[in-house]
Amino acid sequence: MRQPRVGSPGVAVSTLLQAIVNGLMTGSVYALLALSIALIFKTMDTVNFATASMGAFCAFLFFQVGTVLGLGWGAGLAVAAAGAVVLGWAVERGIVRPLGSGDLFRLVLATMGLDIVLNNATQIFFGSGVQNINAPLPSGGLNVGGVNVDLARLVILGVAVAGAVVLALVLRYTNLGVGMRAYAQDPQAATLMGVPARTVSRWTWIISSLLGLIAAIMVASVSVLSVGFLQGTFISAFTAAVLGGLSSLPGAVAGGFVLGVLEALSIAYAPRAVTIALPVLIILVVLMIRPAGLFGRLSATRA
Amino acid sequence: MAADESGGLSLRGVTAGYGRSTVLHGIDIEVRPGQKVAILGPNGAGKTTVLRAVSGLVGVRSGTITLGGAALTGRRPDEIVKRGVAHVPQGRRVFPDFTVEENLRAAAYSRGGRDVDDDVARVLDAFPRLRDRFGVRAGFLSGGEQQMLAIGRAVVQRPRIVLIDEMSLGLAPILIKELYGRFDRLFADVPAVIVEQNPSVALEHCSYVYVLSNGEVKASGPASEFTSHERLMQAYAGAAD
Repeated sequence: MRQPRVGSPGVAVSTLLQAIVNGLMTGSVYALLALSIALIFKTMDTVNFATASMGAFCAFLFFQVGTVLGLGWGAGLAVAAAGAVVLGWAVERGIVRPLGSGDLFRLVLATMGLDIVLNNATQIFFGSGVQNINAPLPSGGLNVGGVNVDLARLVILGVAVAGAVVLALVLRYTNLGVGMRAYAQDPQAATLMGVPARTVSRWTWIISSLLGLIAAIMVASVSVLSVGFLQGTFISAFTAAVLGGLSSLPGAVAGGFVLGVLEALSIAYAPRAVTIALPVLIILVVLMIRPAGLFGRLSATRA
Repeated sequence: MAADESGGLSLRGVTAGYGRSTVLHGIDIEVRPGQKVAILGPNGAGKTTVLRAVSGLVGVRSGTITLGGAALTGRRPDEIVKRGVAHVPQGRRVFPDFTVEENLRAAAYSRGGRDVDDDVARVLDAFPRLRDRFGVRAGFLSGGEQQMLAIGRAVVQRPRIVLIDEMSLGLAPILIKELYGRFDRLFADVPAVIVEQNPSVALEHCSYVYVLSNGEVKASGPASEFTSHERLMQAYAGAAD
């Protein structure tokens, strides 16, 4: 057996555990943003490349109302959530519906354009400074058997899991959720069951926008808020979604956690270049070995 | 679900098509309350397009479609469903990732997904096979079971009229007989438009027949007039020229 490179076996084990714990916490953010991406892909057959800038714009609203105007984080959250709903609705109404569904690339290009517009709007409205949002998260950490668990990140993990659970419940038990899932499987058959296409489209974008907002606030609360601050996370979340099969919601969550842990392991054990290239490497490997992702199925054209 | 208040379906001079091609050229079809009407005709005659025009899945360029006197033309498909049109499409189109139960419940979308237990019980009584497969995803069902489920969804929709497209397609004769029997009982008072490639089956279960070809009605009349093979062949042959 190969000798551990550093210290005693105990240290090696705790390094490994620490990396896994860190990875799960980061991964929870990827999972939530990956859900936002996968929900759109599953239902609307397109990738929203404005996911990051939409979430970031609303996170700035949160900061502006809560901190700059001094109304507190509760008011900030309410305004930001309202902003996310309006933004999701406006994007669906103003861009997605006029362009029509069924053409992946037309909408992909449109969302890429939207991303540029929103990033610039964010800069114009909120400035190009770097802000600390001072989220009301606990500081310090717990030491569990030599592994340090950061409390703030633990809360974030909890919020992410709660967000995923709420989404699952909505999709499973509400009439709208059932309609959305039916539409994702067969739009025309869903229409014949009385599911209005535009309602599904509208709520898919609104819910996706809300998920993006939560992820954006989570990222900003442990790093900083600045124009484009969510782009890196978006790349990771997109990778996570691809890993999970792009159209599978459980896959997106699993992909997020897997990517988070892989990333943390690469930070602990591999050269920095590997960590930076990791998302691209993973997308490459997935596309080569298992293009449908961990949970996805290759779509078959229906007669 | 009394026949009188359900009202009939009426297509007057309906012209419809996809993109630049016109499939239906001024079709007139009447379905009286409680009546079962068959639409027969060769492949590509436009039979499916008639149903799709009623459901709003294909745009009607001219003419009107009314149900119980109220216009369906120009309405969205989900609004037409809400007005009481249940369309069982060709190829069943069950939701493959939904279980049998979820498929049936999804059919109640228009009334908020509520109040489905009685309808589901009726479907399971009519199709005991579906009871055995209740928790199975529909993608794993046989073709016959999928057709039962597709009919079951129409039951849950509590329609004022049922449109059913090629119920018999790809099924064994004994199963076709059983399905039509169940269909007749489940929708005893509900008018229906039945599109069939298999004329003998349709003639047995319908009281009135339209023969379509090249997007036009070539013959129509009581089913009894078409039961002789020659008469039907005549209509088909007339259809061909």
